[in-house]
Amino acid sequence: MAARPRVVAALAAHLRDLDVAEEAFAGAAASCLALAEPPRDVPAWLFVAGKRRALDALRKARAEARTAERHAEVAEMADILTLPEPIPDERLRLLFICCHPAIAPEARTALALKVICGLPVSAIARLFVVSEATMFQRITRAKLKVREAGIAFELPPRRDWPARLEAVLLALELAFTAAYADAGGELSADLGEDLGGEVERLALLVAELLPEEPEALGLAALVLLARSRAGARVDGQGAMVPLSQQDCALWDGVRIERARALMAQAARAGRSGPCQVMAAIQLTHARRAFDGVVDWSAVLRLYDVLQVLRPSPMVALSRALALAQVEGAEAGLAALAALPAERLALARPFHVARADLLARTGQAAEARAALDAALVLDPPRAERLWLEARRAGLV
Amino acid sequence: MQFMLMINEDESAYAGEGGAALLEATLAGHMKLAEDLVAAGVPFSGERLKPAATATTLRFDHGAESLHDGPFAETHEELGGFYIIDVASLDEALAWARRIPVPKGGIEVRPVWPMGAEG
Repeated sequence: MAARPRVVAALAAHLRDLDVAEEAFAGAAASCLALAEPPRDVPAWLFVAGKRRALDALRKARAEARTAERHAEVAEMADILTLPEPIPDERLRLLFICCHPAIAPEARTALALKVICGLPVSAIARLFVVSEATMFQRITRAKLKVREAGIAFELPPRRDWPARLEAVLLALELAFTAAYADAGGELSADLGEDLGGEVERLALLVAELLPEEPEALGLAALVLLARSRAGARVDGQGAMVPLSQQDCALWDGVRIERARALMAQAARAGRSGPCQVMAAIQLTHARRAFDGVVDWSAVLRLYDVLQVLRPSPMVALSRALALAQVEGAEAGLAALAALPAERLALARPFHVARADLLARTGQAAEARAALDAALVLDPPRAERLWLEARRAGLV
Repeated sequence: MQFMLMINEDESAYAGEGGAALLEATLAGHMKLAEDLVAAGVPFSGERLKPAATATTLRFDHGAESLHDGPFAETHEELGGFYIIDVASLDEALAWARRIPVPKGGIEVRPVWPMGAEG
């Protein structure tokens, strides 16, 4: 359902309960699919149907408690009868509610991904590298906190935004990571919506609302740059095309230009941060469209900075690949060998990077084994086709 | 909704040199806070508790009962007092909690279970 984020957010803001909103949406979506003819305005239909389901359930519970409020019912019915009604856009409000500082830090982002982007718990668990059971518990606990702790269903006053911004940006960044890893659009197809487009819209909205926050601008630029390559990421056979081999004539120059402007605006604040550095790395790659080459030593320096700002095995992995471009594949392999292999055993990019560098140093058999290790980890279709083609090309 | 603001503080801050002055300043802060709550029209109540050394704790274990000298939990910070305020949201409760004078310690903010509500 392409309308999900918008409808769920509107339902949550109206019903003031995340679980009730999600259930109401699921019920409404199921009835919508069962209709002989699709409604003219699907989001409006879903919003009204979802609201009605939730209110029916609420009324039933109230009737059982013998405290039915007749006047309220009449007012609510009148509300429902005025169809179609405009759906208020509550996505940003919901994003800020999910990122309330009273919610455990490790749960805020996950909650936002679940409720707003509708990512399945399994996908969120993968993003945080925890088990599905752990993630399910984390999200359940966070929802309980929102419901029971008295967290207001209001957009917080402006002075409270910066305290929540970090979690908001992280939620968007992770949602974007999930969308971007999905070159062939499988996750989006499962969700029935364009997750990348939704993240882009939200990131631009946050940047527009907080133009004095350079990291918000940096994230919007990062998302724009990645989205600028959407048309070049998959070939005619549906196989993924890695960044270095993409035809830059297929890149979207308007998005690149917009990202560049956002980054220039961010730079004026004079406060660097991980989103800005990641955007700078992507912009360096985008410059290939103008310069014909990638300035790998610049990329390497940026990864050095990123490793200080936000150290992680995945950043170290990307840095090793940049190092291989500057100092040679042997140096890259040495850097990879220094990474915690057991922590990265389930990370496909680790095996893909090793395969690349092993192939470049003439170790074809080891490269094939590394590609096999990546293929075992259940890549999306587009990536699998690309990996299989690479494997077949190794002799 | 109602929130209980539980003041857990290090009692030892009020002992020793400068302790009396600190206590006086803290109590003045509480007086000011009460005035501000009244001025803002926030319904509230609250009490200051005697030191943790005066506490007696009853413990139960499936029918067996025992009596202990001292507070429920032995920590550096003790429950020294509380407010119950009636405000619209957690954020408002937190805003009031921030204005409670606490030289060293923390304030736990918890919604009060509404009487008559199920679940």
